[in-house]
Amino acid sequence: MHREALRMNNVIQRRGGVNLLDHFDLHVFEGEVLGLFFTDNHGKEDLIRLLLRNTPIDYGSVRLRGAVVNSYRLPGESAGAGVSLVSRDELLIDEMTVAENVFVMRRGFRKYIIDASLLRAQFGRFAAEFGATVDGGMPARDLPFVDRLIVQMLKAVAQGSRLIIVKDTGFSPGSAEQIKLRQHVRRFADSGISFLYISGDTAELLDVCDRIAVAERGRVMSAVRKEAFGERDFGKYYFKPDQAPFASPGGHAGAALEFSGVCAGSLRDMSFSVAEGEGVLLWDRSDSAIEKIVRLLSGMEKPASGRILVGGAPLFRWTGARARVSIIRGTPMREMVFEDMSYLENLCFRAADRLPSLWRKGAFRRLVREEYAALVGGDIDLLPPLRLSDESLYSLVYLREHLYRPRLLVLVRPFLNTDIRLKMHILSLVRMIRDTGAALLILDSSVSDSSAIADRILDINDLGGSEGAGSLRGVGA
Amino acid sequence: MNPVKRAFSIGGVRWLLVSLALLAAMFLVFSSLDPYFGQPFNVNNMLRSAAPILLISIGQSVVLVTGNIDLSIGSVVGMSCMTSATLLTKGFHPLAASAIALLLCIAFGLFNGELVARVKIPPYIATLSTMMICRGIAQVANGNHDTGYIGAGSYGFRQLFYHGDTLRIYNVVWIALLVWGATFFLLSKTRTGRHMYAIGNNLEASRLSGVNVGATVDKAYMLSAFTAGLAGLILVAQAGYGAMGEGNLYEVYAVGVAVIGGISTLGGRGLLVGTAVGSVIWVVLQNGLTRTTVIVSIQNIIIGILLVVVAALDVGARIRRTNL
Repeated sequence: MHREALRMNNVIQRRGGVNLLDHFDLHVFEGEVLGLFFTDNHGKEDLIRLLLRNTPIDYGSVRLRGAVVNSYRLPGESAGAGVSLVSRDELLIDEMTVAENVFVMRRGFRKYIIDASLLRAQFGRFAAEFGATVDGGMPARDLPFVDRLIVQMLKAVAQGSRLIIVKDTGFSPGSAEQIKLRQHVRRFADSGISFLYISGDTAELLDVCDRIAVAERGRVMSAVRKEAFGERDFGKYYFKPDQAPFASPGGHAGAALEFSGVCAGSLRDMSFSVAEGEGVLLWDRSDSAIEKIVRLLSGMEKPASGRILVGGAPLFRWTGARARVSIIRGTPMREMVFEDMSYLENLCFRAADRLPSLWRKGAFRRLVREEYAALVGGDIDLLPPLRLSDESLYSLVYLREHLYRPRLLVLVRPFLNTDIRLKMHILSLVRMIRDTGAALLILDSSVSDSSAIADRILDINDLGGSEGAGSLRGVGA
Repeated sequence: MNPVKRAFSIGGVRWLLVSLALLAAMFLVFSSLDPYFGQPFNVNNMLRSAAPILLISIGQSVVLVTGNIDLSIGSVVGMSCMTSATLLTKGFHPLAASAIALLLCIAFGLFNGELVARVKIPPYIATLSTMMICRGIAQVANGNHDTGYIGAGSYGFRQLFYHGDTLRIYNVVWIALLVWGATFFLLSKTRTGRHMYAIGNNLEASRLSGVNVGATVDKAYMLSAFTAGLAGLILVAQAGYGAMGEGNLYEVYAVGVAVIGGISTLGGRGLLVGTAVGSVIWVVLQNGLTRTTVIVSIQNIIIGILLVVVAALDVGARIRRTNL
């Protein structure tokens, strides 16, 4: 494990006068899993783009297995060979089989006639080398989430990548999915594949990686073996909110949300409730039910059976606005804003459901502007909001709900892909909304961060099973 | 923020100014080539010609703002034209004939909306199908024949929808302006209007924000069908009879005018003021080219090239904004 798979020497990448990567030094040995923890996400996406596409750099060099693949002396941008990305983003073609995704959808596949049975057999042998038990004939859309990541890793190796970047899996340390992924990462690493494992969860990094590097403001601050990261040294990088951030409201009079025997897709007979003003984390460790619940709560889909009550009244197909249910997706936050509306219009968008004259009467909007300018400063006059920083975007999306005063706020993976600073910021925003009396339902596959904003944690178990299917088990209070 | 800078940052304002500059330039060029082009009678005629174009473009603009498209407009114009003319020739009161024709159009608008928003058929396929159905209804309305003269009892109808004027401006121009004003209010000052922009801008965020996407899309298509129906009535009043081929290619005109006026083909962006300017540009271009004896085939090529350039500029601008 002494030959270097990747070496970045003193890399500077500058855009618009900002150093995205600032004297960035990093090396990964062959067969090594290097964890990379960004304290502020500065330069994270740029680093990934640089490794995948050899984007131009202003100083320094990048070597893969000893060969220079990028240097400030080399012009232009090229497809980076030998590096692949594995992430939550949809990198597989859902309607194709797993074997087709791995072998057909890759650079260098030249056959004109595709023999499906031959592909499946080849895939079976190939997957077995890495201990993967995925059925090659299965459509990618039917894969459990963790298997999607494993298939992405197989695809990376099939197309000749020797370095795999794993980005923000979002699994809880200790969960079955995270253990399965770790086992496969180790199998791949044992066969000489190197990993750059990027995560905002220090516990996950400590569990999976051989070494851990910490990056801040686009620069690697330290990179040492994980045993060196003790609680004392690494403690400042843990997300440690106030241990009692939310006083659980006593004497919940009624249910803000009630699922009663709900069946829909993989959900079987699901029953649970969230009391008025309460915060509940619904822990979906396999990440298989979150999207279905979002579809149900946003009125895009009706349950096959059972009922969903919001504030005691049925949540019909198109009553999301009237039921005062708000949903915020954690990532990517830019998909939650309307880029062709001004900041103020974005801010007022939800509140106008309760006060339609908000669009007609400029005086109302001026009042909103005055009130919220104190919180967001000059951002309130910006247009379009896409120019906002990540922190300001989060403020906009959460303050939109703060102005709206929802009965129930649903947060979908609220801390995914965020650094510590953003996590603390989100925490303060959630606190503001809860102070208005809103109930909170958090849907997440990880409990490590989201538990900080919940009064109760409920675990979705065996959603497709027969016994106790869809029931919820309280694991914390 | 500086008010001027702020005004320029509103989506569509820059493009509107470009459209106005283009209109002024075209007017100057055609006026210099043909001394009668800028005369009041020709301007008034051009405004009258622009009225049905403006009406169908208003409907198409609203549909485009939601991120969809309505290809059935031309056939709905034809259906409105033939059904109202047939009813008039059978002795129906003009008010009843107009109301029945408009209601039929609105019903097909609702049908389009349901196909797109609830059945989830891609909008160009759904409205292409409706285009065929409506054209069929237009043809079958009078037994596969054009209608005869709609009768002396329709004098008021023809005055209202084409020949009459108020304050020296044709009534049909006033009707188009009235519909434009109401739609402008709908888009800019009502919740429904903001929802239309929101859906075209970010469908997922709209759904998560509790927007009733189905109902909003329904309203957009119904408005589009209503404006197409009005245009059909204007064509009947103009000709004095119903022709089965009326409205042919109007869907192309509607998209063209909306795009020239700065309504984004990608949805969520554009000002209805631009649609009004676009419809005038369209008519000035056609009138000017005709008066300067440019043959129709060359006119089509010029207009087609203009559309490609404008659409490419729109997509380019969107990509630049996203990459900021």
